[in-house]
Amino acid sequence: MIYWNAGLAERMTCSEEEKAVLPFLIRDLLSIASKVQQEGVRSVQNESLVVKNDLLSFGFRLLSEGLAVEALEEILAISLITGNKSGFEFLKQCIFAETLLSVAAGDTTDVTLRKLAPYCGVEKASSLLTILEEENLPRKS
Amino acid sequence: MILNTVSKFYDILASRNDALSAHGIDSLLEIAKRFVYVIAQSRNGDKNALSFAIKEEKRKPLKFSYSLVMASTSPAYVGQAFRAAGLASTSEPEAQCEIEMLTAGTELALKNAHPVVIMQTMSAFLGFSVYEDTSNWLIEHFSAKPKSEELIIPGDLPEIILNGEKTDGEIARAVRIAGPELTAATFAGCPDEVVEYITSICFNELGAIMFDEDIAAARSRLSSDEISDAQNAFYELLESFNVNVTNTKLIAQNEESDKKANVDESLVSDVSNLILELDEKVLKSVLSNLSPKVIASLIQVMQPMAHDRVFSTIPSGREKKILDAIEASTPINQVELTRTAQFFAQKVLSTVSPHSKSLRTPLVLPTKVRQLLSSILSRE
Repeated sequence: MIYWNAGLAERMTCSEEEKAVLPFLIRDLLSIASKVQQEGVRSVQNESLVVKNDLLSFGFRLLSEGLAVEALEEILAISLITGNKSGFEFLKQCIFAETLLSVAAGDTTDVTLRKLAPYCGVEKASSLLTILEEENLPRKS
Repeated sequence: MILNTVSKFYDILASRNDALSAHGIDSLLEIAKRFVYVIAQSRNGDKNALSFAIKEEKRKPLKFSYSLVMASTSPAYVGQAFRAAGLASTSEPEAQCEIEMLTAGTELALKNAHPVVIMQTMSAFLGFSVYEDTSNWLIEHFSAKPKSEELIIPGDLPEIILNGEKTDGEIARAVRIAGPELTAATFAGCPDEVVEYITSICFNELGAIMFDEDIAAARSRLSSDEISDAQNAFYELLESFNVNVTNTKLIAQNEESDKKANVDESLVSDVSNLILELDEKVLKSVLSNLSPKVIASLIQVMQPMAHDRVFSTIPSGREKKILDAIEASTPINQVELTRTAQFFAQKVLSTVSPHSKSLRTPLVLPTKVRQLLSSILSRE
């Protein structure tokens, strides 16, 4: 079952200009996810995107604690809801959390891409998939 | 999807919007520590830990949490119990956060979650700033346990791990996919050297503590057969990455080879269709009579769907040799591809001939198979 919540939808509302950045953010996250699957979590802990974002940094540390995906999901959900972010910053955090869960589940880069692309909206998601595939994204981790 | 989980809890939990003061966060963290400490003591065999805490605790919500755990309340009714007790009806941010935090912690305690998981979940209500403090406290309070005695269940896994046959990234990924229970069951039957290696590549200090505890629990709870089954499952998981990577390399190699050698598409189509049309017994028999090197070459002249059928037909014990041969192979030219395909077609014919010893009863070839064999063998 897919749950939806009007309050949540309102909290993550942002402008089209802000959303235009998402494909680039997703590309960077895919690169990080791919590196983790190939070299382990430690290899990305000093990446600037990870260092600059509390949720990513926190999530990767939780991953190193070996928590089950369900526990990680609950902790990340609590952090998102009770945190103070809204608008584009909140949407970004949701994408970070989705990336962390995908890495925790051992997904290949292809699968991670398909989990993240919908955050761009239907039209942009489809063009994002095409562009990244043409850019020769690592197909499997 | 994270949005699903967030949606589910969104109306129950509240955005704090920086409403918690630094002092409030410190007080709430202390409450979480007190709760987790008592739960851990109770789990470690201190039968009076909960009743003593109920008697001594001054804070009503915390006292109530202990009583719910002691009464083994169903986790599903914890939130309802807090509301029924009148503890949830507050608009003051810190009091509200305390109730949400204790509700989550009590539910997890009743689900028998590890104290580290309970603490990390409760402290998530207080923001990222408390992570360091929380981790240090957990390390301080949960790292003193002696290691369990080594248990060795014979198997190939320790050698595969220590000989570097798999990359650290692959091993860590398998550990994440397997989850804590299967991972602990797997390595409960491995030498300490392997356990230490896994710890060093997969876990931080806190993760190492939980891994050690999970291994000790698995060693005391599981039979040798169960540990051996877990090792086999983990091994299969590790090997599956190899198949995926090899298939991907193969596809890429085939694509490259197609460009370079201008591969005869109709030959690829004929070989693929032949593989897909062949009776399973016949295909199994033919493949068992081909060397890994020939199969590796044959793979270059078929579509991915046919790869899958070949790999699903090959016994798992032989799969690794074929994968190694594929890894070692280089793209071959059109003439060699045609010869390999024809060699395969001849093997099919000899397998189904009336004099064949491979099959007990000769098979009648379907028309489509006959046409495909004829098409492959008639090429120059």
